[in-house]
Amino acid sequence: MNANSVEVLLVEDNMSDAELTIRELKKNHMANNLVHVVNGEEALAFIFSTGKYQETRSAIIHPKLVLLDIQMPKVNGLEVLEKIKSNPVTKSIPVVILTSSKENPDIEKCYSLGVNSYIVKPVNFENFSLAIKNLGFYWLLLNQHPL
Amino acid sequence: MGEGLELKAVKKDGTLFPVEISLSPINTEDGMLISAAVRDISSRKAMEAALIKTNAELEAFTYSVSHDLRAPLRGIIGFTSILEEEYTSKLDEEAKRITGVIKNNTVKMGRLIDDLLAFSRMGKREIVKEFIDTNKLVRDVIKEVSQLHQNIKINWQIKPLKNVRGDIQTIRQVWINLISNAIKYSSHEKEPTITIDSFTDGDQYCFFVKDNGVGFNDQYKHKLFKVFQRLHDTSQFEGTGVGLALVEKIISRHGGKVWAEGEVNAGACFYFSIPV
Repeated sequence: MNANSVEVLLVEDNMSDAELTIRELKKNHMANNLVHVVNGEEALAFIFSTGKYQETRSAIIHPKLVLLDIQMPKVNGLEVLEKIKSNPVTKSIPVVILTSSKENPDIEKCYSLGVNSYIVKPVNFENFSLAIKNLGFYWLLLNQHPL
Repeated sequence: MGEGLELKAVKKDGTLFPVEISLSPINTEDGMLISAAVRDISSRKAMEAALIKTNAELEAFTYSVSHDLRAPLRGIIGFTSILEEEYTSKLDEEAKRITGVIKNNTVKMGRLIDDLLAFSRMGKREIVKEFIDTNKLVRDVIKEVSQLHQNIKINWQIKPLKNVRGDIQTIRQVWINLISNAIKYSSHEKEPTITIDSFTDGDQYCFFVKDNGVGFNDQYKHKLFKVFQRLHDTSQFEGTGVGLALVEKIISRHGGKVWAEGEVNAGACFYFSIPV
């Protein structure tokens, strides 16, 4: 898989959560073109083709879906969301927040920044599996992507 | 005239300090005089500020701890499930029993975190008082809670209840907690009976939920409404010990009181009051 055929960009600093999410997507055959980055700084480098992705990525080819955690070191999810949604080139990329936080300041802030969807990661495994399967199916298969 | 007017006074060096002023009239032969008492309340003000700060820190701590505990919990449950699902042929009966024990404990921990979070959130929320149709609310709660205990047949004795002014979400939670408890602790009776009634006491409307269940030892009743305090074995009755503490917190924020009466194996009665 080359860096330009990415369908899902998973931005998640917690390695256990990342592994569980990728496993569930794989189970449903939705992880073939998935890239996992561990903080917001790398996510932005990937999307905007800067830093370590300067050579390998084209900034006009966008992932079909960005799965974004909120609490991350260096650059957090809210900042990544803000940068993606405020840039005319990238603002139509579907961004789904996938977080442990069910707290209101976070939810309101994300929607005001233009997030496409906000999902709280269930603690219960069956519910978690179902949530990942549903969101994968919806955003990668059912949803019509921006052209 | 009046008491407790708080103002600022000036010390000799020019700095301000908080004072409380009380004025009272004195009738004398020469006519009415005013007596003014000026009290330095610097230390009281400092203590109040420290208390507010400590409460805020405690609530922030509870929130952050509960919140940050969820991720590793999800990891434990998730990976244990993967073990069960994908390595099932390599696990013998004992191994499967063990993964079951791991998951049960994580479910308990999850409930505890949820309850703690609800408790801490209660401290931060603003109480919004509106008219509450108590009869309707209680019937809705009974319907909802009964769905979780469909195999238990309860004899409900619900008397007409007074309507109140309160925060509907949290008063609902009070009813949910008290009614769930009543069902839970009378579930072992042959004929579980739960009575709900209300009465007026001065400027408070009082409500009670009475059951004929396993009751509690009256000598420990001061522990009932404290966080994590339980008077029963987890093996007999599951619970996190936060439910009643949450009831106490909600009712005291409304300006009311909670109290209880009980006797071992002779049932329990939980009361709460709300200002009229």
